[in-house]
Order: sequence, then C-alpha cells, then structure tokens
Amino acid sequence: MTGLLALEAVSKSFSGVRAVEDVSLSVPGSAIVAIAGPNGAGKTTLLDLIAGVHRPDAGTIRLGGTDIAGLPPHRACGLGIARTFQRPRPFPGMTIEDNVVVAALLREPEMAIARRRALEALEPLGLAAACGLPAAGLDMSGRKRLDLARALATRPRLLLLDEPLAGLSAVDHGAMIDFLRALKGRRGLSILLTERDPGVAALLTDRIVLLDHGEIVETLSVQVPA
Amino acid sequence: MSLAFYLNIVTGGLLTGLVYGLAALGLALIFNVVGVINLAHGGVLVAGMLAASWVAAARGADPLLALPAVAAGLFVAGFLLQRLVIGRLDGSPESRRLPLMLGIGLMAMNGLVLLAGPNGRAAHPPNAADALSAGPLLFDRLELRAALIALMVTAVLVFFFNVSRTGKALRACADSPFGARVAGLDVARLRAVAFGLGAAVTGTAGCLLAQIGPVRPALAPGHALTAFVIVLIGGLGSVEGALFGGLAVGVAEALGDTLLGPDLKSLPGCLLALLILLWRPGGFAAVTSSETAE
Amino acid sequence: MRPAVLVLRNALGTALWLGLALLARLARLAGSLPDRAIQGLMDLWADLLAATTWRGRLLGLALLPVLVTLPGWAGPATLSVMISALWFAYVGQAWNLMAGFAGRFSLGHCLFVGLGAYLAAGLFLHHGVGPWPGLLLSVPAAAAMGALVGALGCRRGLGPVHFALITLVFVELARLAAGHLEWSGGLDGLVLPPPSQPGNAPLALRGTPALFYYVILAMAGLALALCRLLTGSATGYRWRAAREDPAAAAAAGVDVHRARISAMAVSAALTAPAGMFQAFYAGALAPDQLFSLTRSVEILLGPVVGGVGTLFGPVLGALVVSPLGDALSDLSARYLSSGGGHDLSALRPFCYGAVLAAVALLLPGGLWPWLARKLRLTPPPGAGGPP
Repeated sequence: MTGLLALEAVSKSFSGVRAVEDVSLSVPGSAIVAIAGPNGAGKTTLLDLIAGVHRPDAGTIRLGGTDIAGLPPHRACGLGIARTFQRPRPFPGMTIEDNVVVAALLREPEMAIARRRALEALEPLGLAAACGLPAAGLDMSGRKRLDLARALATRPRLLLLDEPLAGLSAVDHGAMIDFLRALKGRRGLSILLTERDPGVAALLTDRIVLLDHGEIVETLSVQVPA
Repeated sequence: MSLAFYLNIVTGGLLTGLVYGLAALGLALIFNVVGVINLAHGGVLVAGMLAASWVAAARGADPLLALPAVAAGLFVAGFLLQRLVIGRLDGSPESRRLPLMLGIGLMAMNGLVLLAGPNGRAAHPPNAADALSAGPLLFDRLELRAALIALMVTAVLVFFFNVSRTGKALRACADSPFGARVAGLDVARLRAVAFGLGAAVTGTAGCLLAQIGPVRPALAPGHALTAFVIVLIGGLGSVEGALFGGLAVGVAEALGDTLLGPDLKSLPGCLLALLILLWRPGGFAAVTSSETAE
Repeated sequence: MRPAVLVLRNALGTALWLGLALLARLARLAGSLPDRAIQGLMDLWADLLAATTWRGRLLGLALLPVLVTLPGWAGPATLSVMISALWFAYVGQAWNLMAGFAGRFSLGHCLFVGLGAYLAAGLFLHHGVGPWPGLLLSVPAAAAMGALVGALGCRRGLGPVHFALITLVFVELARLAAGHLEWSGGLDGLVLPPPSQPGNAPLALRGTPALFYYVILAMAGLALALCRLLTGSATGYRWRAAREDPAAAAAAGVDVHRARISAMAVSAALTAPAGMFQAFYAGALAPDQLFSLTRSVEILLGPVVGGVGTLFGPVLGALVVSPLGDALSDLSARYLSSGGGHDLSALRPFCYGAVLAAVALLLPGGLWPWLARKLRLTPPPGAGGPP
C-alpha cells in the first residue's frame, strides 16, 4: 500500500472488548478520507491508535513508510500527525492565543515567531481578533475552531479530525465544510476524519470508509458535489 | 546468627505485617471507593491506639474490649466527615482535594497530640507477654492474637465486599461512579459509608497495634508513612495489594530493626517502595492483573 | 528497556538536557550580554506594567521603599519575622513552579531545602567552601535530585496522589541518610561556628540580621523575576499546557513527562539556595527538624493560601501565614513557660491544617486572585496580563 498513511490489519481490544478488528486502510497524500459509522463503531479508537494514545494489539501503522504504532502522542505529533478531539479540549486557563502558541512552539522554538504562527493559524478560523480572551469562554463552535487552529499550528502532514462537524449550528456547519475543503487544497496535508453520517461525509470527500463494530464494512467512492 | 533466629524475625514480621496490612486496607478502601487519599490515616490509627490504651489503663481490662466502641465511633466520624466535608469536593480537581486532606490530616494528628500529649503510654492487657512455641519458632502471644484478629477482620471484609449488597454497591461505586448512579445507587452516601468503614478498619488496626508496639501520638506521622509505603508497594486502590504490602513491609521492618537498628527500621520499606515503583509503578496489584501498562 | 534503566535514563537525560540548554543560553547571553540584559529587564518592566492597574502600581510603589528601608526602622522582632516571611515567599515561589506549572503537589520540598542546607554547611565545615561558591555544587545536585524524584514520581499511570506519597518517601530516606552519615553530623546535625569577627561579610554570609534581610529580599525579588520570565518562556508554556490538559498537550507535541521532570528539576534547583541561606542564618541543622512533614507544609502553605500557579500568590501567602506561624510559636512557648500544663508545640501545625482545609473548601483559588479582584490591582482577564 502506498500513500501517506497505511494501516494494515490493525486490532485493539480493551478488557476483552474488541474495539477495532483487523482494519486496513490507506490515506494518500493531499486527500481527505472519511471514516463513517455509528456510535461505538470504533472511529475514535482508530484515531487514538494512529495518534499514539493507544498501542495496537496487532497490525502495523505506517506514516510515509515509517512504523509509528505505539509511539507516544507527542512523538507522533513531531512526525506530523495532529488531531482534534470529539469533545474539544482547549487549555481552559490559557488565552486563545496562548493555546495555539503552545502548539506552534513545536516547530518554532522562538517565542516571537511562534506567536506570529499562532495568529496566522487563528486568522482564517476567525479567532484572531479575540485571541486575548480566555479559551474557557468559547462556545462549541469556537472551541472546535480553536482545536483545529491548535492542530494546524503544528504544521502536520496528517490531520486527524474526530467528528469535526458534530455539535455545530447550521451556519457554522457550512463554514467548517468550506474551510476543510479549502484545507484539502494545501500541499502536503492529508485529512482523516470521522463522521457519524455517511451522507454528511460525502460533502467533504470522495473516499468514505464505513466502520461498524470495529470492522470495515465497505469502502465507498462518492462523487463530491461541486 | 542461626536460621531459627531469622525465621523468628520473619515470622514476627509477618504477624505484625498482618496488622499493618489491615491498617493499610482501610486506606486502600477509602482511595478505591471515594477516590481520596486519607492523609489523616495516622491520626485515625493513633486514635484507635489511644482508646485501647485508655481501656487498659482505666479499667485494667483487656484493651481489645475497646474494639467495638472504636470501630463504631470511627465509622460514624468517618461517615460524617466524608458526607459533610470531604464529599463537598467530589469532582473537584486533585489540586483542591489534596490540600483539604492534608489539612484534615494535620488537624487529626496534631489535635491528638494536643489532647493526649505527645508522650507514650502502655496498652498491655493483664496477662501479657506470654510466648508460645512451635518447633524452632517462638510466637509472642500478643502478636499472634493481634495477627489472628486482623486476619479475621480481613476475612469478614472480603466476605462483605463479595457477598453483601452494600459491599457490592461499594464496589460498583469504585468501578464507575457514573454507572452506579445510573443504576440508582446513592453514590454520596455509599462514599460516606466507605470512608467510615475505612476509618473503622484503620482504628481497629490501631487497637491491635497498641498491644504490640508503643503508643505515642507523636508517632502518628511515622505510622502514616508506613501505610503509604504499603499502598505504594501494593497498588493504591487495591485491597489484596494492601495485604501483600503489609506483609512485605512487616518483614522488611522486622529485618531492618534487627539488622540496622530501630532508628533505621523504616529504611528497607522505603527502598522496597522505590524499587517497586521502578519496576511496576502500579504496585503489586498491577503485577497480578493482566492489564498492560498503557 | 528495563524500567530502572528507563527511569534513570529519563532523569539523567532531562538533567543533562537542562544543563546543556542552560549552558547554551548562558553562552548566547554572554555573547550579547548587555543587550540581552537590558532587553530582558525591559520585557519584565513591560510585563509588570501590563499586569497591574494604576492601583496595583501605586501599591507596589508604596511598598517598595517600606521593604527597602525596613531594617532602619523596624525592631529586631519585626525584622526576624520579615526575614522568615521573605524566606517562605522565596521557597513558596520555587514550590509554586512545580505545583502551579507542572500540576504536581510536592509534599517533600523540605528535601531540597535540607539538601541545600546540608551541602552548604558541610562544604563550609569540612572543606572551607564559602556559601556562594558552594551553590555551584548544591544547585546542580538539587536539580539532579529533583529530576530523579520527577522521573520516578511522574511515570505513566502514577497520578498526583502517588506523587505526593512518593515525595514523602524521599523525605524519609533523606532524613535517615542525614541522621546516619558522619559527613552530615549524624543525629546531632551540624553546627556552624559563630563568626570570628563582628560586622557584615556578605561574601561569607555572616553578619547582622540586616545583612540577611537584604540578601533574602534580593533572593525573593530575583525568584519573582525568574518565575515571571519562565512563565513567559517556551518552557513555561509547555509546563502550563501539560498541567492544564496532559492529553491535549501531548497531542500538540508537548512531551508531558519531560515537562514535569524539568519543572521539578528547576523547582528543586531554585529551592537549594534557600537551604544555604537557612544554614547560615540559623547556624545549626538537625535532620529531624529539617526533614519533616511540618516543614514541607510550611513551605506549601504560602502558595496554597496565596494562590497556586499565580505570580504574586506565594508572596502574599507567605507574608500572611509566616507571621501567624511565628505568633503561634510565641504563644505556645509563653504558655509553657508560664506554667501551663500542656505542651502546645502541636498547636502550630494544627492551625496550619485548619488553614489548609479552610482554603481548600472556601477559597481554592487563593487569596491573591480574590484580593486583586476586590482591590482592582490587576486588569480583568482578557486584557492579556499574566495571572
């Protein structure tokens, strides 16, 4: 399997419960792949495995050819994997700007430059103006955008988004879809996202992997509407 | 020194270890169900010791008679403490709960010193210091009695947790407070019960310890440290771990006392704790469970 | 890799990395010292201005001359209380680095104080090394010790409770070690001989209480500045992220484990000079006194009361708590000497406990944030100031 990310026969159990079973998939460079499935299908676990939160019981995970299975999350991030969480996790005691500065420091050790990169990440997501406010005061849409800005500030090769559209109002929904589509155009960035509804996933990408009870049910190739 | 000599030390250590294990069991129980570390452990233990010594001194009777009153009294005190004070911070971050537990612990330990004075007192029952022999082994009658009672109490507790309804409810609370609530259990009350139970168990151990060791309120921090070392070795929320840790520390202390002197008797235990942390941070409990470290 | 090797490798690795990073920084600093120093001071000044409203600045301006001229107008009792308070402000600030920025409550900071004190006293008595040169050994030693405690105490699966208990174990080991080594004077401890000549000798740290006052005042000020600089630095950001949400921080590329170890090492390194100060100020050290839970509680009381994780919290807390503690000691001593039956020496730790519990229940954020809001000394959050 070629491509940026390649999973082969990945399995993971927790206390005897099989969360992910023999999953193989690949994400090419500069592409969006969606994993769709109901709650409990194992979508988040799959992302956790790729991001290094858990170690797979079996199978391999390769990023650009390098085996990354079992690497701790901060090492995975260093190699170019960034992720957002299903329920966004801002650093509540820090300002919006500082939240992203932490992430930017990974690539830019100098504070001044890191700060600039942080603002550059916040700008397209509409958070630059309010950057001095505490992150704890953001609403769901703001938190999702902050999570995304933080992930992007680490200059990833692969972006893992856990249900990026869940909990957003209709307006924010559309804006997020536009933003994610624009991201795809970025050179060298691939996106692997999870989404409960395959129909919604089809708005973003042509490659949809259906997951249920930890196993891949089907891989779809859909025409993305213009 | 002969083998018999060392065997006796180890046996004595095992017996004391059973009582230490019981004390640590109270601590582990509280951490398991309520999720807080009872830094007042030393104070509770000493309270039990003091009650036992008071009975011995005032009534000239067997200090074990203090046991039911100690257990009941400490249960009520622990229940109320959790229900009215500590339980308020349920769900708060550790950075808030630790200072509270530390504060309560300091008040308990130093409060006892203020009330009873830092000095020692005796708590030996009337027909004290007999020895029983079995082959090359020489058992101190008091130690044997204390250890057997500790073992009985432990067995009762294990039975309680596995068979009785409240016991199972407590275990449910420990495993998943959310799930327990969904199942209709009054988690706040159960936590208070657990705290009371843990305090009662620790106080009972204190009564037992009073007959085999010195009774000095000033020693409370030392006893607390022993219990902390035990739960670090055994695994913080684990009941079996507390027992195993107790035995290990009992033997370690006995050997330390004999080989290194009474001043350094806590040394082997502390080193053992650090070694266990090096090897298996989860303690003995993590060794026996099949969960791999994530 | 076998766990023991892993832990030691972590501790050593972080200590070395810290040391190299520090050397690199110093080298760069040396190359551009005047500019850097001026820039650094200007940044600090700008920070201070941003952190305070005009009321706050006024208060600061009013307090400064009071503090600076204190030995001139205060009596010996007041001077002694202030030295004690400033000492606790200094140590509290160091403790705060670990609790506020690494999110781990250390119940064993007296370990690093004791280490600094014993090394300073021992080097002086046995090898004639003065207090300031002695720091060249005691600070790195404390940092290494801190890294070890951090590496062992912050391993995966070990939570804040584990950490607290582990620090207690380390304190006990230190107490036993200090009490049984000849170099440290055994159970009797060490006693520094009284100064051979009267008068002040700052380089030898011998002299009048006024000398000690200015030294600790300078140390407290430097600690404050250092903590502010750290907070605004890349390391400080990583520490704070690791504390706020370790999982999210890891996902953003922060090595949480290393962050915690380095916070501990820096915190310990900063604490060591306080031990040195204590050794020379008090003139005598004993293991049971230095390595006790009460000592550790005294150290953390200031920051907890004042506000963990804030910049001025530890200072305020120490200034409030330390005089109270001294007053309690006085009270129990006087009670005893006036013929009272009870030994009230346990009264002080008892009250400490009560204060801790009260703060935890009623004012968990600490006194400083509440006071700053009430008196409007700092701008409201969102205007970009530090905590």
